[in-house]
Amino acid sequence: MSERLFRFAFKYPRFVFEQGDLAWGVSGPLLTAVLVIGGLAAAALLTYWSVGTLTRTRDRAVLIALRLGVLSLLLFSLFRPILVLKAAVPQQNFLGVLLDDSRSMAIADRDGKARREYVDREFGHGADSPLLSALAKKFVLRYFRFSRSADRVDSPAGLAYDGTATRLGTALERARDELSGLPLAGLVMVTDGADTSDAALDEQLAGLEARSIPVFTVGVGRERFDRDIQVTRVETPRSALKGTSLVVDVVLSQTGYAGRTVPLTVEDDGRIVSTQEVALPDSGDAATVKVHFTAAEAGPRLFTFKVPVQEGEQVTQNNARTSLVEIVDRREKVLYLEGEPRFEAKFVKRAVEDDANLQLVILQRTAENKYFRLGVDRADELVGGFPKTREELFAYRGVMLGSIEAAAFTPDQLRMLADFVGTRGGGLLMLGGRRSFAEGGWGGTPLAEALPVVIDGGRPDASYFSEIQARPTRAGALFPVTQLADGSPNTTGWGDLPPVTSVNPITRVKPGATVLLSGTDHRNDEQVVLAYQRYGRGKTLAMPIQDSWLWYMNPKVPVTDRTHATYWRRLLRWLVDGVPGQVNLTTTQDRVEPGEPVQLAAEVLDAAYEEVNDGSVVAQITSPSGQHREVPLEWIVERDGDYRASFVPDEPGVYEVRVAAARGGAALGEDAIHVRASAGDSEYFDAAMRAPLLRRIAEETGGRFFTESDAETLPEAINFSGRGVTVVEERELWDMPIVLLGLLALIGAEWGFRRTRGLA
Amino acid sequence: MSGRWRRALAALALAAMAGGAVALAQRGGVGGGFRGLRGGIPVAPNIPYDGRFTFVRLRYGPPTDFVSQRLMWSHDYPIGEQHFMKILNELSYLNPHTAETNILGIGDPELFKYPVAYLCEPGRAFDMTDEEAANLRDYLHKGGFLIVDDFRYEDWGYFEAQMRRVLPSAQFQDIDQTHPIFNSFFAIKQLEVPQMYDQGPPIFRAIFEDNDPRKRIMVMINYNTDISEYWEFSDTGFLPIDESNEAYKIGVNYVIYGMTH
Repeated sequence: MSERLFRFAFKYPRFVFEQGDLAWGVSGPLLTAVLVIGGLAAAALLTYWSVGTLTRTRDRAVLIALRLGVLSLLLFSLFRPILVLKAAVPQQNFLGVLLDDSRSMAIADRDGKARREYVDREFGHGADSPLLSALAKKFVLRYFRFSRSADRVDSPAGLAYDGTATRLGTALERARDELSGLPLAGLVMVTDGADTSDAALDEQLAGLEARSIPVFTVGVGRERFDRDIQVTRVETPRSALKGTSLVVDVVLSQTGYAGRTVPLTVEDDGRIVSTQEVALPDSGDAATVKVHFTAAEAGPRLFTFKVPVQEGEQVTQNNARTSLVEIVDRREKVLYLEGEPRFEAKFVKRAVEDDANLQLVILQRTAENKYFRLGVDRADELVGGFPKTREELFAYRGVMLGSIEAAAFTPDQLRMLADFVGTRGGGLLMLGGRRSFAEGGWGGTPLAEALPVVIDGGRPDASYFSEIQARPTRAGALFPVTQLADGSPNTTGWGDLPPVTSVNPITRVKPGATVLLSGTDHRNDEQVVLAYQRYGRGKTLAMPIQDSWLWYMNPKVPVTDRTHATYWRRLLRWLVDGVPGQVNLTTTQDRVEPGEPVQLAAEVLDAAYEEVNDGSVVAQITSPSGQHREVPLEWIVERDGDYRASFVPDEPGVYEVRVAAARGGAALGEDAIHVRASAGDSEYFDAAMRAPLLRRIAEETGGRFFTESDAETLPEAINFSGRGVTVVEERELWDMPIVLLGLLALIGAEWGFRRTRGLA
Repeated sequence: MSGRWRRALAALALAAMAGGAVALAQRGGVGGGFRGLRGGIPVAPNIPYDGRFTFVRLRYGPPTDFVSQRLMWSHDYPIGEQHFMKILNELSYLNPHTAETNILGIGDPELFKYPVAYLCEPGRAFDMTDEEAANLRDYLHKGGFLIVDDFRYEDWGYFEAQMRRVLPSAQFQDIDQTHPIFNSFFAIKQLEVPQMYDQGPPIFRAIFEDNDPRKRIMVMINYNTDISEYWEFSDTGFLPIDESNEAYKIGVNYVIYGMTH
């Protein structure tokens, strides 16, 4: 039953009944009279049983029931039902009125009218504002405007609607604190509910509930736009190596344009780097689009992901999202230890030698205690073979192990290898070969625990040899490294690549591992070709094949084909992607509003990747206009190696923050990030009115959720909420229209029944 | 070369010599090739690719079931490569096939599974079809490494003419012991290379990738000398051990270089 119909039938709105208690106002003499009348009526009813013309028991029962119904209604009215309510004492209670003045209130989704027009009409014209004047009659009003922050205002007129964020929790907290100590009837929050903060409201709502402050929310706007396309989410890495082929998930959603194909473009500081046609999903659904582009320019790059504005869109500002990505131009050092002379090392080196951002250092054992070194920086680098100290090993960001047996390492070196991944956060790849995995005696070593494949308990099988046609798994088909056929003319799809071979039968992976490539071997077993898993701070990869170079050397593969090179470049870039350094600087967000503080956190480690608590850590901050300042970071005692500071950007643009750490005068390292200070556009994303959130706020605090259509009952709802200074009010119920209607219906039914049965 | 490696080589060569006299008699003496066998030596079937290093000898001309001195490309087969592979197996972790070696035509697609190959006596008999030349060109451009050995001073023109069909813009550049190829396993300080022939010093020439000496060698040419002759006869005692050692050292360095560059 609609609220309006309910109110017509029962005289009062539903919530009045919810708030009040039922009582009976019948007096003693009246009660006696009622009982006498009731007794006589009952006796009259019994005469039906003796009426001779009523031959059928069912007829008697129907007529008695109808008469009893009439009698009950009469008795109900005669007993004088009363609704006992606690009503607010006029002008004795305060009421906080919170008005949303964020940008999203300017969205015109109310039949072409902006949301702000409703607020202005109902609150912005003083005594001429219907809702405001109705509330002012009963309550002393206190006004707040809110968006990113909340402030007391003298009048609700003249809101600017230019807030760049909406934080409902902050607003509720501010109003609660401001009005604490006053007799408060509740808070009225007029908003679209499009909260832009990531924080949950649980704490604020619990606080209001504890203080018995009901919140009455008024949702403004439509719960769903008629016509809109939105770039809902873009998932870019915070940083990437220069030249990396990025695959970014872009989530598009829409209403009103189902089936339409639109171009999705990626711009790098205004220059288009990628365009693809995207078929829009069904209305209300989200579609994830994988966008490929290359991070060609180093430095802080502002990538914009954009769909052109279509005709009739209600919100045009949510068709583009920007993301700041740190494109790093440095050489990432990967140590490749190969236990025997074999071609894999040669072809991997050839594959990545043109990559200016990868430095592959090859240490190839050619004979017992005899090593061949390639790509070293210094004459003495690795001259004694594989690193013997953590400092020496942890200087690399990635490690590849070729065909080398576990027995070639000391126990401490084996522990170091596992720690290289788990503690240092490096990437480790084990290749197949006759000295790898179980065949190389790696089962039971610390590294076996870290690897993504199961080799513990696997018995070495020296006779195993199988050709394998590698193909991507479902995960691999979507994974950037193994997506080979990306449209480039010089790459081949997996199906067209020649088979490779393996001497390590590996078919099982760890529970947390992901298989990206696999193939069926000669035993019809599903052999792992490439798998990975996170381990501690880093990741491990297993590629149990021995000759990926066949992907290039095969005569069917053209000389100009870059598939093998592309695969290895991507694989090694991924291996070192996200590997931390000795100083790791982070912020909670890469964009802030001008004037909003930027929180800096730096993790500081020594060369063995042990946390440093006695370091000197200083941030050099360069503003967009080139001004420098220094901000020291202080160690927080709660966590080892964790240094914090904050600064406030005072001009819009991109700030560079470069942190250097030292201990005892010796440099530990440095790291740099960029932070954008600019007005955000988050107000236009997911900007439809959020009724569920507003309803939750109201229900958890004992208030009530209204929309524009029923907001005229808001004053009455607050009036009977029972909060603040109240007085008991009694409301007569005997004269509810539903009673009269009921009587008429019962009498009419009896008359009709008699007519049809021939009893009238 | 360290004393340790020198002793290892010497011990191997001496051990091989013990049973070498009979073999020498069969082969007809140094420089005799196949003269002791009427009808030639049967060609063993190739072994399929299994990921292990396999010595590959290139064949120009039609396939054959028997080889003899008449077929220049087959000189020293199979003893030369078998000895060489045994030495490589003893000295290094290469783990090559020692008894089984392969013979592949220049145009054989199987060649691409073996990125180090050996070409013997590419003199006046050396010839290729256009398809074979194209196959060898792709092989070298992709990363294949070709060792050329055993051809005389006066045969250079024939060899160069054929190689220009493979690599038309190739530059043949002389290299000395300072090149990394002579340090890839043994540190060869001086090219004290034995001269098996009768005139002039041995010449070491290379074709570099993009003709750039800073890049890898694609084709390593032992010109006016015959290194593999020492491999073949190292078990007979008729050639000085030191000279045989030098021949092995050069061969080992070539293979290690070809596998790493």
